[in-house]
Amino acid sequence: MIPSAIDPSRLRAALAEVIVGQDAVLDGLLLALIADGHVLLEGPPGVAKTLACKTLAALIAASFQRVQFTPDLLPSDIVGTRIFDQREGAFVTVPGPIFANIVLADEINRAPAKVQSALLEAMQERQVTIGRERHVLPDPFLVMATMNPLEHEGTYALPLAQTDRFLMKIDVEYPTRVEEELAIVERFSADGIPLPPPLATLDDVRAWRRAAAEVHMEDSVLRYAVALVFATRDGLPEELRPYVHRGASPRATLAVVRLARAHAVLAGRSFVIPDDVRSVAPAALRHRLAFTHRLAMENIPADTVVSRIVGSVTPP
Amino acid sequence: MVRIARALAPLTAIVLAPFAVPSPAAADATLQRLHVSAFTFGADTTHPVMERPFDLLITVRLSDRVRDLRNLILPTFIGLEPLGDERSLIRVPGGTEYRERITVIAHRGGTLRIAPPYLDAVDARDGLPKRFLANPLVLTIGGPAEMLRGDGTSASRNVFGVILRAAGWVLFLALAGLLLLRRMIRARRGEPAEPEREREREFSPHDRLRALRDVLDVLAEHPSRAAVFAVRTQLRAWAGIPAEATLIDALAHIHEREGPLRSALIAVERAAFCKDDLLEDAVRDAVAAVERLVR
Repeated sequence: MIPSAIDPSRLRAALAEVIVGQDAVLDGLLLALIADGHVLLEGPPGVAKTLACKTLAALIAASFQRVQFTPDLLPSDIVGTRIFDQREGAFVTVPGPIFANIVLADEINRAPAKVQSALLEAMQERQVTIGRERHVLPDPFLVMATMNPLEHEGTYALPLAQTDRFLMKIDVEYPTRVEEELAIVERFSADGIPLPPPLATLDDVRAWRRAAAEVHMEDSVLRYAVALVFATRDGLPEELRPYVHRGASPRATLAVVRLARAHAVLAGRSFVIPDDVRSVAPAALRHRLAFTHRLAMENIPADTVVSRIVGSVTPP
Repeated sequence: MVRIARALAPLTAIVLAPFAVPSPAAADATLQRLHVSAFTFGADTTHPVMERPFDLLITVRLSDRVRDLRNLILPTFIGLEPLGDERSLIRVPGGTEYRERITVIAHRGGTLRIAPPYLDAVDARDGLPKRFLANPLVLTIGGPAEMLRGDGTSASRNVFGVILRAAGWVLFLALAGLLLLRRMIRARRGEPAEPEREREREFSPHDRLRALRDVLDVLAEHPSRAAVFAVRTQLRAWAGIPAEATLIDALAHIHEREGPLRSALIAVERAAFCKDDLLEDAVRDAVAAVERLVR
């Protein structure tokens, strides 16, 4: 189906050799890579978020940069700045860490809104302006931003309008089985885990993206995707209305469609089936819904509501 | 509504220009000049039941703005009693949609084949008068396994039907009495009663297999997306897979790693959702896979 490109499922297998468990994270990262969208990762510290991103970058021979977001971070710390070169007697541009194929924005909610918006603007426009010069970011360009859900002290919550820029949100959990934790301990040496050699190239990534864009989506499946997003708004099941303040935007529909196509490519198909849509819908919707305080008061996980919404729509 | 939409999906069809044939009414100057983009014929349920009204639905989508639709000819509904007919012409983005809802009731069970409705019009794409055909409809009416026939109005059949209905009522009353008795005994023992559940009407495996073969024949003769959906629905019903299951659900349901049912489910899914230019091959594969399973 994808001429002159390796099968993306091989990349998935190579990722799994480094990252134990975390199937949702591995699938999510590959989907975002193929669908050409940015990822929001939420999970406690120490669950291999950074390692997963670094491993993915190594496997596709992509440049990788990690930025630790802190309250004193400045926009120029991310996009770059111009400094005066005394030897040349002129200003020169020093590109920031955003000039990489894969950028890990660690704890994005620790930086003030000005820095967040600088990053999000770059994500949207795929170019930055330093001084008076406009610089196009590398292609592929993928931002993986992490958020720590446990600590709220000194954090700046991302507004819904900004989280909407992320194609998907992946919830990273602790290992669920003792065997997984044992495997993690066994794989780690004193020097950490060595990164694997490249398995694919950036051209392969571009080929997967072209293939995803050509994946066929039958009208009934497209209507199912639309119905899923509509079910977060006017079509919300009656029992969930007290918990959802605002539903997902039409951008969510686009996200579901793009991710479903990427899911089909990952499965080696040239057409989308309802399973593709249903599989990707929670990741595309969970960060686009505004929940009421009642949800938190009743201690109901947001994903429970999202799953109920997805389950309320009958697939074709 | 969701169940109705689910039921509609497999039975609706889009029969476009390839099925259009030169119209015998070609000489009729009153033919409308139309862009027919979709013409479907279906029912609001995949499991119609005897003596319970259900709706037959005809939808014609046109890429034109029209005030009325003439020369739409309905088939004869042999074996079904029409109870009402509701028509509407709605403006939709890019054209007009004609919807007709015919409420009918079946007095006998079995498989019912309804010929496709057709529309005589001048095809605006090439200016030729044509007859546009929707898809035929195969319905399996729940009830005694009796094939409906056009001449099935003889007195003996009516008597047989009355006897069967009477036997059914006797059986129903006996079961109801047994359930009441069981509840009374439980109440006396202080046992909690089972929660009330709405149970779907049960069909015998033989009925299911026959329905599957019927729709498979239609698919083999007239490959179309709608016919694939009909096979998909009947295959799942035959295999005891819930109607709302996706492929992953279905494969999990059958607990079969390899085998003809798994192959058939995958082949039919491919035919249901693949690109139009791959449909012919996919249908051939799906028919072969299902035939290996049921023949």
